[in-house]
Amino acid sequence: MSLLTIENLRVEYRRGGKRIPAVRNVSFSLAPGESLGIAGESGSGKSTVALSLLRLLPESATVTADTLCFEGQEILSLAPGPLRALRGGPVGIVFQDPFSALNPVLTVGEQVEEVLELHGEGRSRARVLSLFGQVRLPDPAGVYGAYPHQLSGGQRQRACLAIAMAGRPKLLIADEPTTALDVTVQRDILNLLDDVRRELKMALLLVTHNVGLLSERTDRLAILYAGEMVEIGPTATVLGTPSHPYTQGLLKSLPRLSHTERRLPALPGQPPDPRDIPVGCPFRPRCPSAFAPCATEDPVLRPMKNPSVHAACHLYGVTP
Amino acid sequence: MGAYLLRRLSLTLVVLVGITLLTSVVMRLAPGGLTGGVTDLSARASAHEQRKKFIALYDLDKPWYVQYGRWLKRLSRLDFGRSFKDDRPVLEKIGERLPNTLLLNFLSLGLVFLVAIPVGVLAAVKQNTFWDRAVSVFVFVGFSVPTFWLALMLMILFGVNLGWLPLSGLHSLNADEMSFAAYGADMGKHLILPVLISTFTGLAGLSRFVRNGLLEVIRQDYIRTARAKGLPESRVIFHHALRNALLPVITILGLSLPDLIGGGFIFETIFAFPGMGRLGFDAIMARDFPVVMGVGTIAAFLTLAGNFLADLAYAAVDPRIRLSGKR
Repeated sequence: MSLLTIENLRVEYRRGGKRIPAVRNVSFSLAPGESLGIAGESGSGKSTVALSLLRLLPESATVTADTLCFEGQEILSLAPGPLRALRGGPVGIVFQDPFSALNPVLTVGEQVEEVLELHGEGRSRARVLSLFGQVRLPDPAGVYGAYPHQLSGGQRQRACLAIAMAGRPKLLIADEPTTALDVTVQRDILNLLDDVRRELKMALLLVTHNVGLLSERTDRLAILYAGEMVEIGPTATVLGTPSHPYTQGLLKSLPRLSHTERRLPALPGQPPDPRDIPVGCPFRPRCPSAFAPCATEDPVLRPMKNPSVHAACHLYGVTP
Repeated sequence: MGAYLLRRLSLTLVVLVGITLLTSVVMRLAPGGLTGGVTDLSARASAHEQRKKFIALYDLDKPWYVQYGRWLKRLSRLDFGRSFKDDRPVLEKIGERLPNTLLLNFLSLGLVFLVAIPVGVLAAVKQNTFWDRAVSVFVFVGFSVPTFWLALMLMILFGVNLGWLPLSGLHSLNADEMSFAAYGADMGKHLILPVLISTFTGLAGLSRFVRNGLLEVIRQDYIRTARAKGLPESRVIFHHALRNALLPVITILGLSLPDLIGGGFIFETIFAFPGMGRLGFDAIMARDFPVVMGVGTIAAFLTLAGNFLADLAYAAVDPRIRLSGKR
């Protein structure tokens, strides 16, 4: 029984009367306690996927899906009340920029405590302090009464994690939680996420543009390109023997300590403009292996030789 | 914070002196001269004699800077001098008028805040709906309609045609003979029109300000965080968003203090309202120099004090200012 099931997620933004697709054909499921990394370039729609799960996208976005189901509840048809019960409770979320994600005029303690009040536990300073301990904030009592501007970026992101964990979530969504932080702090935060996930047996959806950060951290890895999921599978397999030409190109362009070439191979060209997605495979214009069907048929995710890996590519059989 | 306060305080003092200096110079530039109101129009033979005595009494034959210096010196003993017109102490005259102006303006300012904040919130939360557009139209009208015209029209409607409300002043002629309750009711009746009109004109700006401030704040990441916690929309707006959106309103409050204390010159004159504005207006028309200086100085002092307090209040509610540099 999976915790989260998504089939055929589609998100469109309205811009000046036009509907611009940001996410198409995204399907995956997440078992309790499992961790999934979602990686892609800027604009690949990965944050949109993360935010759509709690319907936190701006009003200009339209979210549709065959299924968007968390613990048997269809999220897209939830009334406001049950949706609020889900947010901050069974599903916690950590955002990208800890510098703007906390309210500047409320103390950090208050911002955690109101989650406790809302999700049934009641206000408890002791519980807030223990949460601060869990996210390894030094001086929990001091942080409790501090305002966000008095904390460093890493400390703020820890406080944000405490907010997300306050409702004892079964699923934690982390939307590029380290992008805004110093490189030295990034690893600490990711290790922390990993640790609390194991301690609390949470499922984790970790969105990042940095594939390197995901290796060894998530059970499975999904790759997004131009709003479409092009490959998903066990992290080690996807990174070790990538199936989709985009994943292959992406991994080749990562710097490695063992490599001695001075110039990294880069993928030629640019991702397509979301206002003008080509017919067929969105990666076709940049793909070294493209052939005739790529220009006409939309590839769908299909199992590979190793059935735990799915990729959307005509090289592995053209969609009928 | 301490250094900041000291700097603000000394700056305030400089501004205060500047204001009195300017007032004194500008008064001297006014046509008719300072003695005009007292003696020039008098046809009696003694007028010339009287004029000479008057000039000597007020150092009017000395250069303006000597006069200003002596005025400052007297001011340091809180001596504002006496009115040219009726020889009563300036402070006494101001003491009669200031409470009336404060009453009128605190009432309308209170109403403005009471109405404008909810209206602004409504317009922001229901952005681009009928409500928002209705508020926009209302704001547009409120900004555009000249106060004096609106006042005259409503006076004609309620005072002349319908006869419901008194036209001017703060008390009826026989107010002294009334019982305490009747006296209060009479005063309330006199206040309705001035308070409503000055409220209406104040509403426009503030409600627009609150709307735009809230719309700006609602776009912030921390509002998304608040929603992601599962907070009800009412708490998101009132607890998380409004607090941030209202911070600049404190500055607006500080800026509205001159009206609060000085009173609208035109406004109070139209209503023959016995306030600071009309006292100042009448004094200017009569070239009653000590009263003009007194009204100007006290209004300036209270305004600057108010702005200073607004700064303090801002620091008190915004932790980013209050606690900057600590920790």
